[in-house]
Amino acid sequence: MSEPVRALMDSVTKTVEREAPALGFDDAFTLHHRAVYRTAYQIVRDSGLAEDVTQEVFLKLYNHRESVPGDELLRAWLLRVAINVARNTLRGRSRSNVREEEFVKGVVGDDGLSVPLDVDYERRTEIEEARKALDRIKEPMRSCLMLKQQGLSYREIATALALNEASVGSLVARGRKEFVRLYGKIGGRR
Amino acid sequence: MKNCVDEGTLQGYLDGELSPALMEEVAAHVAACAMCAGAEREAENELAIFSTALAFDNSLNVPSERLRERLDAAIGGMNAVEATPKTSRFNGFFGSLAALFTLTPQRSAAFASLALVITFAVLFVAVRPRINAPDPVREGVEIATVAPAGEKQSVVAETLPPPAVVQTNDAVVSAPVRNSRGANFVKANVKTPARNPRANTTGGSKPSMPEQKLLSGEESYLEAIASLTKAIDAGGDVMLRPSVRSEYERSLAVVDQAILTTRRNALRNPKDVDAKEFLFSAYQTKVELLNTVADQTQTATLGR
Repeated sequence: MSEPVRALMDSVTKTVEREAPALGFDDAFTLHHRAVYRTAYQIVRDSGLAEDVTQEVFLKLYNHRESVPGDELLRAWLLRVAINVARNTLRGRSRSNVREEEFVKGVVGDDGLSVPLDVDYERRTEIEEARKALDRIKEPMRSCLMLKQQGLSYREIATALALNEASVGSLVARGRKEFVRLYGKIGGRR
Repeated sequence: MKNCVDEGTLQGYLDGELSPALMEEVAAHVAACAMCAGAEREAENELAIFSTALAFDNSLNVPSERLRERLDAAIGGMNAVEATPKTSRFNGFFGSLAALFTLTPQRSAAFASLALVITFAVLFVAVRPRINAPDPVREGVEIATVAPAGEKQSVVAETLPPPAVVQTNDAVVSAPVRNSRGANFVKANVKTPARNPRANTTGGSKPSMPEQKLLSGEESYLEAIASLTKAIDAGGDVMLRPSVRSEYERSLAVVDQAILTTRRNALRNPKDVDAKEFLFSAYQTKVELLNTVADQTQTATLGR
């Protein structure tokens, strides 16, 4: 077999192998893409950006699938990456798109484009108030609450946020209290 | 448990995160302590408010199919980039040198068509001095422009052996001569792009680019070709003898065919540097051919 033919065969084989990703990757996507998307959404509050973040997270998983932790902590790893990527996305946006964002906000209102219009006005207001309250909670309580909401265990939350597992319960409790306080304050419920 | 439970432990108890022993202990304490029972109720209420308030976001529709499609496309694109062999800079350089001497069917076809085109160009240059009438004024101008072309002709003729395989060297040898003709009317106005696309800033650092309509570096050739064609058209058909004109058109057809074929190859194999190299060679040949013809039409126009 001549050299060019061998090179061609190698590249084709490599492509075919890569095009059929390992089963673990597919499973990981099927099991965890919702949590990744929703966590990203909680931070970026835009469905398009949340999709971008989700894609980047799973591309990172694809590229580092040899070194990513096993099943038990995979979700924690994915959500940790999701939080980081989403924050970076927001930072990038705040630098370049502040004006556009302000313009869009001015046109479509504070609820952005994410709450569907078929949701009645009262519910939309509640959703927005809940989001505002969550956004005002300090870190790492906010992330603890977010991850708790996605069904993560304390161990997973500790892994995802690089915290001491023993402190997670306390952070969740404080975050929860803070949320209720802010939510009541924003909505004039208390 | 004599002391009251702290909020963290109580939260862990509500979330089922404590060890079985601690769970039992906290349960017993909460059952006995009114204050902790109140704290537990409050915590449960707050959790309920929290869950209800954010239920919408938590049940947000996830575009699973679209996400999967996008991801598959991205992974496909990534693999296409990775499929190009990773070699060091030196390996790559020597590899590309060595590759010049390896003949694949595609490459020999491309070399053959290039050689054919160059042959036509040489023939065309050879008949060129006979185009214009022997007007003494015009002759002076003509000689000035033809002289360097004569050099080129001799160089090319010397290095143009008959078999197609050996002609591969011809393309290499004649390459430096291509841009050496300084005293040229059209060239003064037309930007002739560098033959090597790697010298180009847009195409240089990223040889592996995704498929697109225009390859990097291609635009400059197209611009050059467009302005040369315009210059030739401005000169009009009358400036060329019919026989020369038909020769020119035949050469042009061959070059265009070569461009078409090499371009298709380059687009099909965007990672193949050779394919792109052939395309640019073909473009360069066309630019030269047009340059030659444009020279003649301009010379003829001046002499009129």
